[in-house]
Amino acid sequence: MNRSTQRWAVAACAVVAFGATACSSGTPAGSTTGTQAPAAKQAVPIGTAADSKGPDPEVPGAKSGGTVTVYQRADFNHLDPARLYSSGNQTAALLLTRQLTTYQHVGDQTKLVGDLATDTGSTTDGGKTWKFTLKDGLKYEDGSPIAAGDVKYGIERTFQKELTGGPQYLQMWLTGKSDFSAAYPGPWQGQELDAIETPDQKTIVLHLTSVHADLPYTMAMQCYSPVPKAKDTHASFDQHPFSSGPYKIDSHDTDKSMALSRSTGWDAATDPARHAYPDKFAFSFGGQNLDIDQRLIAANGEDRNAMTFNVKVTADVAQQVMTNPELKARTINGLAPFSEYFAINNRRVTDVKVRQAIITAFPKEQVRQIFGGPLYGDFTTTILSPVTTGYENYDLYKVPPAGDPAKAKQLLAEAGKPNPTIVYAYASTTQWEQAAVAISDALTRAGFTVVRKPISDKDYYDEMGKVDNQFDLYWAGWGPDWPSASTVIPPVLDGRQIANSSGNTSLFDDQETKDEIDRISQLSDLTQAGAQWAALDKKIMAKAPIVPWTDSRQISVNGPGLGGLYQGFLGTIYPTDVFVK
Amino acid sequence: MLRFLVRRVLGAVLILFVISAVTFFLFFALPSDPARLSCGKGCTPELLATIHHNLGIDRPLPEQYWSFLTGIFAGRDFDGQWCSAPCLGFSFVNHQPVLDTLLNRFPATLSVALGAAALMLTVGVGLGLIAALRRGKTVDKVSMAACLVGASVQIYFFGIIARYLLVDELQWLPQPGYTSPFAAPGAWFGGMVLPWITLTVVNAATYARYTRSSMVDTLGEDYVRTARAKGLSSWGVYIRHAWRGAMTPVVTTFGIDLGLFLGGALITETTFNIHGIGKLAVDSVANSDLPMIMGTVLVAATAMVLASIAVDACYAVIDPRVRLR
Amino acid sequence: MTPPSVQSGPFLSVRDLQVRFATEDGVVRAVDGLSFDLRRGQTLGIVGESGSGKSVTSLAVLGMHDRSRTTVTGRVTFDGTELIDATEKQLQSLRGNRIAMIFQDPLTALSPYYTIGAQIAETYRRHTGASRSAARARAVDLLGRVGIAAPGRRADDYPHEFSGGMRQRAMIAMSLVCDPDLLIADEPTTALDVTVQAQILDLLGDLQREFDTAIILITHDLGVVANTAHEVLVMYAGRAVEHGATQQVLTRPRHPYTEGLLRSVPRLHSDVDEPLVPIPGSPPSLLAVPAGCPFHPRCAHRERVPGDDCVTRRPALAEVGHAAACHLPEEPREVLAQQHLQP
Repeated sequence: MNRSTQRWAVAACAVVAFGATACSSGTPAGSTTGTQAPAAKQAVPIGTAADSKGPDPEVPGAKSGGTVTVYQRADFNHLDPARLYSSGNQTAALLLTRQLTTYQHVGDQTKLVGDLATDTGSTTDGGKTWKFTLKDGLKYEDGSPIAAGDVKYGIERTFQKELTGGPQYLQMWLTGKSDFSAAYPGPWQGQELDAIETPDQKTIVLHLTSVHADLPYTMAMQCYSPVPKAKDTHASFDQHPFSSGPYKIDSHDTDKSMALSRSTGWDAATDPARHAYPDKFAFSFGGQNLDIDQRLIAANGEDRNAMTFNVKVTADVAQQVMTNPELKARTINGLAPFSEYFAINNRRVTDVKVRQAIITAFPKEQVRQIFGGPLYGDFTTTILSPVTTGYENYDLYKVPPAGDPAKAKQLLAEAGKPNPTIVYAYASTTQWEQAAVAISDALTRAGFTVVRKPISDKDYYDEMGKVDNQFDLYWAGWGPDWPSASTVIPPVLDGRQIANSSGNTSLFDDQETKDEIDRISQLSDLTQAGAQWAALDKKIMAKAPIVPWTDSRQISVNGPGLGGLYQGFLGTIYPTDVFVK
Repeated sequence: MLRFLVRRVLGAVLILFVISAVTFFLFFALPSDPARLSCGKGCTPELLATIHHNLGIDRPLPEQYWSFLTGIFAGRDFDGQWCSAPCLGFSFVNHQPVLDTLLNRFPATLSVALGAAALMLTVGVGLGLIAALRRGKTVDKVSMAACLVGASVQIYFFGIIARYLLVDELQWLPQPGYTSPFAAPGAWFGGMVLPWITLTVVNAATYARYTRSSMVDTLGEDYVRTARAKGLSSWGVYIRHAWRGAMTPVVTTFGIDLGLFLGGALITETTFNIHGIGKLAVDSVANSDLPMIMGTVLVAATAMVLASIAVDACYAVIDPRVRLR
Repeated sequence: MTPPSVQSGPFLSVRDLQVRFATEDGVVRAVDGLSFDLRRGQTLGIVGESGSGKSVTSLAVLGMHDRSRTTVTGRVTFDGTELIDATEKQLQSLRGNRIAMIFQDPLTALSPYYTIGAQIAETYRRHTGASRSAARARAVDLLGRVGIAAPGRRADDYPHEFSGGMRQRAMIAMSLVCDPDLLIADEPTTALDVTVQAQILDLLGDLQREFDTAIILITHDLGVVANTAHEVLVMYAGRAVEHGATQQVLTRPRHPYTEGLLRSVPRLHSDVDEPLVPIPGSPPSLLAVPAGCPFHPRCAHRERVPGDDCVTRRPALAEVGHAAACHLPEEPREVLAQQHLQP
């Protein structure tokens, strides 16, 4: 999950500031009552080699054929696997790429299984060296075989400096350096990366510089997809990638439309996670959220078989969607793996009592109401979200969602600072302006002196991401890249990560936390690690570096002519099992 | 005439040069960095520098602008990728040639612009003529009131309501959007109806009011009285004589509007998801996509400048007393 | 110019013409009970200050007033046709065809957007249905006859390319293109300089003799009337105050207003140092015309009228002979005429 998705939404809303379509930093949902949060997701277990065998178990009632129309707010800004890092792009890539591992969704259970590989990988040294074996019968869109060298080449491409925007986990692990491109510049000049071995056409061995027990999950990220060297068109690959997945691109008119049809090389028997029931996918880009909602609700003509990966219902139609049984039946409402919080600048607000007072006084409910109420997301009191392995729900401060000014006042008194000044920075959109008023009021009631500091929404991330920013409190968000706290706590709360525009927006630098991160990262038992991460979550919250706010909800309507839709790990609506009724 | 054209075209080139320079330097005056968008999570200063270099925005501004200018006239080399003149560069976002994208988008804008211009002119002028001839009567009052309502409505408001009612609910119209008129004339027309109607509702009022007031003035002119004294029919008097004299302010407004439309009807295109120059401009600004911003600004400015030359030429056609110099 | 010898019965007859405009401030009686006759080949001069109702009269004859705001009553008979009740269609076929008009300022009265030739041809085609080329030939012919050199070339010029006098000649050519029986010339020479004035008046006289056209010559200039009109009608505040043969009215005015007008213009035969005497005061507002004789507030001879007739009773105008609408007894009127004749 990438912050740039959010950033994009903010920017788009800033420019296209039309009244009818509400915009927020995320995408808002309306305020309806009576929606119950579905049960928290189970963390994703690792499946067996048997689970990894294709084909994916049939979806009841599914049949092949037809065309699925997909409406998206904007075109996918990247399709080159090396640059895939936002949930919308990654969802599209489900149809166009395959990885060594992937998530298999059967019934309500999601498992990590081998995708190109026969299993989720094996290690003999506790997680430093990983070996994968490719299945038989794997082919690209033109029927040519997928070889181990292509997987290696695909990973090597992620080192190429020109191919920006993708995640960097594996690159850092393979080189042991955060500036990995200095260690290996990528394959375009002819160099190979020795840390990846391909002893034969079927075998891939990854030599990491440290232990990473959760590597099987990392390999499910679409950026580590196979690319045949002969088909690498460098920069142009982004518009028209060569497909290893069940579909291929017939045409792609940037920002307007994209048409997919079946890949001739893909064989369902080899794929444990994708069905490819429809013959074609037709993407249509652009259009405002409300328009897309209305088309999906009206479901006229081709729109019967239309869906969206990530357009959330707007506040304008939320009431209608949640109360009309017919619409509700074709609405997907689930938690997305994206947590929003208010970062406290730990370099400026150094007194833990004051930070705790901010948490205690914070009007979570009023702010959420401005963004659409319960449909926007579920209140959270933890750092980790329910999608991560080991997640434990706790509430350290026992503050009602509306805030507790009296208790906050008391904390400030204990700190000996009854009237500290807090600079609250926010993107100057209508909703954030309203939220700023609510936040300012609530904190003022607790005794704070609040200075409101609006920032142009385009510059919001740059400004609040500066290490030397002069703000005390600001909104931020983060999502795990796989269902492990190792993709949340280290990037967000490790003091060594502090840099301009880093994930550690609260500038939290705590020795105990750093030590714990190092210790838990070395654990090879993922279940045990999960429990320890959750314990660390609790320990960190005692130091009050952030104000946890909401876990986002993804609520989308889909055409009544489609079946097999579900919300996948990315939080988006997945097209892997979809069929035309 | 030739002198006029040469003088005005040279002026237009100067204006375009100034506009492009202002756009270019304003873009860099803004604190937002186009590289941030492609840098993503875990962005490091080194990575940012690499992207700056890849995009070519690490060089001094005048040098960048000079490259941009020479690219237009002589073509330009982008890290081994040759972009022949007139070269507007490659998009920061999708690396497509800007010129190709503009050419690809222009037919949609042209369709919206020409159709809406024709419809809005017909409706606006028609209403204005009727109101002027029946001034003070019910027809006049009703049509002027309707115009006031139309002029007060916002495109995105009217557009979304109309779309919801006519397309989603009643299904009288197909979904708005652009299809090539050469490939599917029916679909092209159907997809354009709503944008045309919307632009007409919002803009026709201006024409109706200009036409009405201009006609009321002209109907008081001596030569209109002469025309009546010559025994001409009412139609001959109103159209051949009065309207001929009254059309100048309407032509001026029309020229400006057409110029604006051809530069991309931003709100209409965005409201109806028509992939024209206007939507491209909105998207490119949202993406900090400098080459595309420059391209769309140049298209819009060119349309405006050409429209103003055309308006001046029209004056000479309408009024023989006007000399083109 | 001498009056034509052939005398015929009236073919334009105006009786008790009343023209009233509704305005925001009240009803304007622009023309209030006007009557006159005109024979073929004759010229009637209508004289008065601006606002006296002379132009309104001509527009009312042609039915060119704004019908929504104007009430016209009385009778206007043109060659046996009643014009007041005529339909717009009937009037359209008369206008420019049998009754033509010439306006004061040819620069504004000609459309700037069409060539002179086209504007003349337009009238001709409208009424005769002639072909484009025939209409153009006719236009060129008439331009030649009103004295425009190289008419074939000048027909393609626009009004702004003509001089003032040439424009008025073109205007006359346009009015004559259908051989009208009646020509209404509304201040045809006012906008022109003196030498051109004389040329235009001569031209009108020549054309009248050639076509036997009746002319209504509307002017504020008694000098213009003196040499061209057979009869003169003097209007004041929407009413005729004096009517008679030109020579008689000019030499022996019977109304103090006429006499005042004559004293206010220079005459060729008088001494250079004879003072010009303007009429004191200004014309009345037509919204509030004084009761009785409308001229009484400005009249120098009121004391000579016994009683308060001037203030209370409206003087009538005899329909025949040299008549004046005035309460002055005969004897003082002779004095009026004598006064005028004195050098």
